[in-house]
Amino acid sequence: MAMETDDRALLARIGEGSDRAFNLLIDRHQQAVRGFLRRLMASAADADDIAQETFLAVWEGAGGYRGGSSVRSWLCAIAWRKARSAQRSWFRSRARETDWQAEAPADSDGASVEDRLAVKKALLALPLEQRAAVALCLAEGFSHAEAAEALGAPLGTVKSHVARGRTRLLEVLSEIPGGVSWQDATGGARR
Amino acid sequence: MTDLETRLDEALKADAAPVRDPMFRIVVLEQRERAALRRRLVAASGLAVGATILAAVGLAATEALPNGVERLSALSVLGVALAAAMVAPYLGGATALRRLAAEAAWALRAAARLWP
Repeated sequence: MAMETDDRALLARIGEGSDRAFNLLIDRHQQAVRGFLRRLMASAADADDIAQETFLAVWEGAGGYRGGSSVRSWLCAIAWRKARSAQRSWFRSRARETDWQAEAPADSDGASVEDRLAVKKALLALPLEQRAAVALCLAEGFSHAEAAEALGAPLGTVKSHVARGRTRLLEVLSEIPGGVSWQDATGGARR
Repeated sequence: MTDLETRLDEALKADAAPVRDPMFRIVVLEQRERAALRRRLVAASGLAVGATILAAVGLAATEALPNGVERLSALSVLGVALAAAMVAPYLGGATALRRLAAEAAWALRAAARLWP
């Protein structure tokens, strides 16, 4: 709650043109916005481009925040609108459909390479709205209500999207036996 | 949580964006400055056209005045107006002054809180 009040104060100061407040807002929420977009779009570079446009839109119109939702949901709502309109562009969309294949998974603990690639591919095969709901609720830890605010969709629809998406992802994973961890696959050389 | 659910959770969390990436912030700030520069260039071009018209009209108007203090004053006012018009876009205009005032007010409030 204190964080939320703090976020609103930050937005008020950004509206007055404070660079310091803008830097703080970016630092605080970049992970949620970028994480959401990276799971929504095939290319991490495209996702980061849209994340940058999202924060620029905040600088231009911080006064547009009406206070009905959390600042994090509001930021993801802006990102969602921008991602959806970018997705409609046929050429960019075509490029993104193949870009994911060229991107090697980043170093991380736990998940195997096969699992990560399979989940990423399956996520991209989901309808856009379903993918967005799964990205917010299962990956970014949003509540269903927060995701519904960010996506501008009814709560029931979001719950249904998350349930269907999760079932599909679990189906895909069940077809992969165990899997090799990224550390094992690279001989533990990447430290 | 079943093994499958754990694997899904780990696979989804594995592609998380960095918590705090200074480079991302720097790129956002760079793009913001570029956008501001583009706006200033457009404003400067508009002002240059306006200033040219103002100079032409102003000089024509001062022609009607007799030589002396009145004409000198009119030319001085015209010169100051032209200089202000040309400098305004580089200062950021009224927006920059408003932001400067807001930053100063915030700094004063912060200093007042720290004052014993």
